[in-house]
Amino acid sequence: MNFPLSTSSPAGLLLAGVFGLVLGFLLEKGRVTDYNVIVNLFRFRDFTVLKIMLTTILVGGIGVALMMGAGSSKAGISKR
Amino acid sequence: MGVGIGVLSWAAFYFVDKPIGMSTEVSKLSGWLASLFMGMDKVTANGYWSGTKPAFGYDTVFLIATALGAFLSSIRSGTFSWEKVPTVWSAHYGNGVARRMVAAFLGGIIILYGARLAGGCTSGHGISGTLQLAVSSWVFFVSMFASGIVTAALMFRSEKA
Repeated sequence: MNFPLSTSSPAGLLLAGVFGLVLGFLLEKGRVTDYNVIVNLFRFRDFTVLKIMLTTILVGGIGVALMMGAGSSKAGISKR
Repeated sequence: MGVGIGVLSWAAFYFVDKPIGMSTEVSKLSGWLASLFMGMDKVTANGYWSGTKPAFGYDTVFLIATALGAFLSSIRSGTFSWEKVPTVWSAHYGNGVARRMVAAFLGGIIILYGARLAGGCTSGHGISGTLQLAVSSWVFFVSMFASGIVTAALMFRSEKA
């Protein structure tokens, strides 16, 4: 199978479901689905959201930079 | 958790070449909702919806699956509960449900308006854009924090909860 898949293909839609479920799980486990956690970031009382976002950017960014370097992904940049 | 979401973004970019994002689909769903009342022809005559047609697709599945994933996670870990008024809100504005619902509705309008204005939300810009080092996304990131801090300082001023 060649990647990236078409997002309208059955396999693409299936992946949308899998990715969504995983993301939802991670967000809930990380407690960033909680109103109080989010508002308390901006009140400098709870830095959960910031920690998760910065970790995601760091880890995601390294992987995406490597993929772009290897030429295997345009990483959405072509569409933006 | 951040590591997991980072790895998930690799997978999304690699397998479907799509950044993780939410708000575009919310706008599409609002277009679909409007079409029930005014018909799809009038909806797609709109400048925004003509380019972003409200149709079922990858983003629809992704949005629904994300909510479902969070729901299943909360059931599994026993953190699921019906919270009509969050504690930080009630400490400042009381336990009135109607008041909270109106505020949440207005907040939703403002946040989605901003997300369309910026071309992305906390996930599209805040995660997917920043990790590609897109300049627009970092401007978004800093602005979001600046406005969030000011808004919270005005709305939740005291030392309560």
